[in-house]
Amino acid sequence: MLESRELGVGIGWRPEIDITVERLPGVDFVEVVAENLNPDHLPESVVLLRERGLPVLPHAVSLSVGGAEPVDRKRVEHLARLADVLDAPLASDHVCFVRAGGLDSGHLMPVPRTREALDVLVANVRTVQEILNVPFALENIAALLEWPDAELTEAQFLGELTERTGCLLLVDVANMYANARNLNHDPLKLLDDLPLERVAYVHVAGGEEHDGVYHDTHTHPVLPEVLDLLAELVKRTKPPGVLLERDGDYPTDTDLAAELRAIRERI
Amino acid sequence: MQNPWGLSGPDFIVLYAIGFVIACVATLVLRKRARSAPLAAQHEPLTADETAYLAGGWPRMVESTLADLVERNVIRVQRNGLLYPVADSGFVPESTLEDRLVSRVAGRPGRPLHYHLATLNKLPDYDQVRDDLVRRGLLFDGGTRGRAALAALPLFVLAVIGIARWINGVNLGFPVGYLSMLLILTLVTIVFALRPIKAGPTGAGMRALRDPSRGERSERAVDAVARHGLRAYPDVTISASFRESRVGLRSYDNGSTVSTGAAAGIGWSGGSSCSSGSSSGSSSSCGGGGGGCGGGGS
Repeated sequence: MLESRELGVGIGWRPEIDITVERLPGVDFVEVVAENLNPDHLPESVVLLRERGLPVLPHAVSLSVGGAEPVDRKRVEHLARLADVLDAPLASDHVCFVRAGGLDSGHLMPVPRTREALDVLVANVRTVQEILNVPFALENIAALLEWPDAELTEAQFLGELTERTGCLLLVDVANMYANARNLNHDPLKLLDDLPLERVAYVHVAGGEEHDGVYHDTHTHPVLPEVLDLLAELVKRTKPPGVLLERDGDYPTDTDLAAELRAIRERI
Repeated sequence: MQNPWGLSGPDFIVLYAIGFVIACVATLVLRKRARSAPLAAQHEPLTADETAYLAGGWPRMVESTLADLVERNVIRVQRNGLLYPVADSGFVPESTLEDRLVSRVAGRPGRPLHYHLATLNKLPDYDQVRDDLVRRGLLFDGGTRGRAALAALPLFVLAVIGIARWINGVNLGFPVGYLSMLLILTLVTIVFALRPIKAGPTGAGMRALRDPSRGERSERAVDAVARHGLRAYPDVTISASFRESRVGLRSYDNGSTVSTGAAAGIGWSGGSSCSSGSSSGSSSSCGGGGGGCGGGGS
């Protein structure tokens, strides 16, 4: 466990809710989407939050560390520069790939849980770690499909990844819940088997079901089931931080504060 | 040769110049009086919408409505002034303007106020507020050319006299150079004087705006913005965010740009005047001194 990096309860900083985030009670840290920020021209709001001493963590979505191709060093350098400018305790991305053969998927695509894919992922993560000046964390994603012929469970896959690279885990309980709904995964078993001592922080987000498929929309309220899953995680370990992700249809400040309060009550 | 009308050229020029000044002043007074309708009801408090319309026309009404919606957490402002709808705000529109503004922001989120203004320029809400203000003598709703022509009547009369003297002088072979110049000046002044009298607060309306007892005294953003524009939004961060979104707003009465930024507030483009071009003082400097200098007489 990363006790030295105690973060508390946070929220994803987005430009649309910049003033709201600045004023929300009970925000101990924020996360920014790395690709949306220019390290040389940080938004005034982010600068203000940093001046207040709030940790600001860059979270990338485009490194594609799970891709078969080597990672794009420019993207990693951007993340590294941002982490440096923000004086961030860590940076993160997802266990996924977002491009292949010169095409961008526009979505976070799951990585086949094979040894061969793990080797590629490990190599890419090591490249990222070489460039970053801060620890690197990787997030489990919500997938709508699974590659066939998996050689490892998700817990084994992530466990070996952290073991071989020393990377941290960004555990998204909402993604776990989505996978439980859509892929019949057992989230409790996953929590039991994950190397929770490697948890950097936790993501919580809302979603909604459409036509029998649960979508991790980040635009809906957090479901009680997701908060229950957070509580299950907390039973097993005390995460250094929990962050509310909201990416659209932003509700009132009061509602956002209530969601943060609900998260705090679970930890 | 006998002087026409018993007046020498220089004497006529002097009299004409004096008449020109008097006609200009009279036209100014008449235009101003046209804006000062009798008061229908004194000391009736102004609503926020009425204050806004009086202070800055329909754009200010939009501003104060936006301020209210932001304060009620229906619309969210980004630091750079872009507007977004707040989801699940429980918003129930209290006016057509509120309904339209929220719909616009929801349909096209992430844009500044000025982006939405053009589609909000014709709403029944404005007519209702304007008519009420006019009825109460607080607002002059703009004059037709007929009303402007009526106010310019002294100048017309002066021009007719001048033209008659000029024709007579030409027919009798007198020099008419100075009179010609004065006539041209008079005609130019008439052109300016015929501009429609602009809409705006009457004197009573201005006093009502200045008198705090006539408005709703509260800490509400809507009241502050109604009087002074978005720069007066009580929350300094949000006020600054409105300042960030640069706007080029047009006042509704004459289409002229009246503000380059929300910070400047949206207001009337200045009261009416006879004419900025009718500088009667210099125009009368011709004088007409000296014999035979061309006043249509010797």
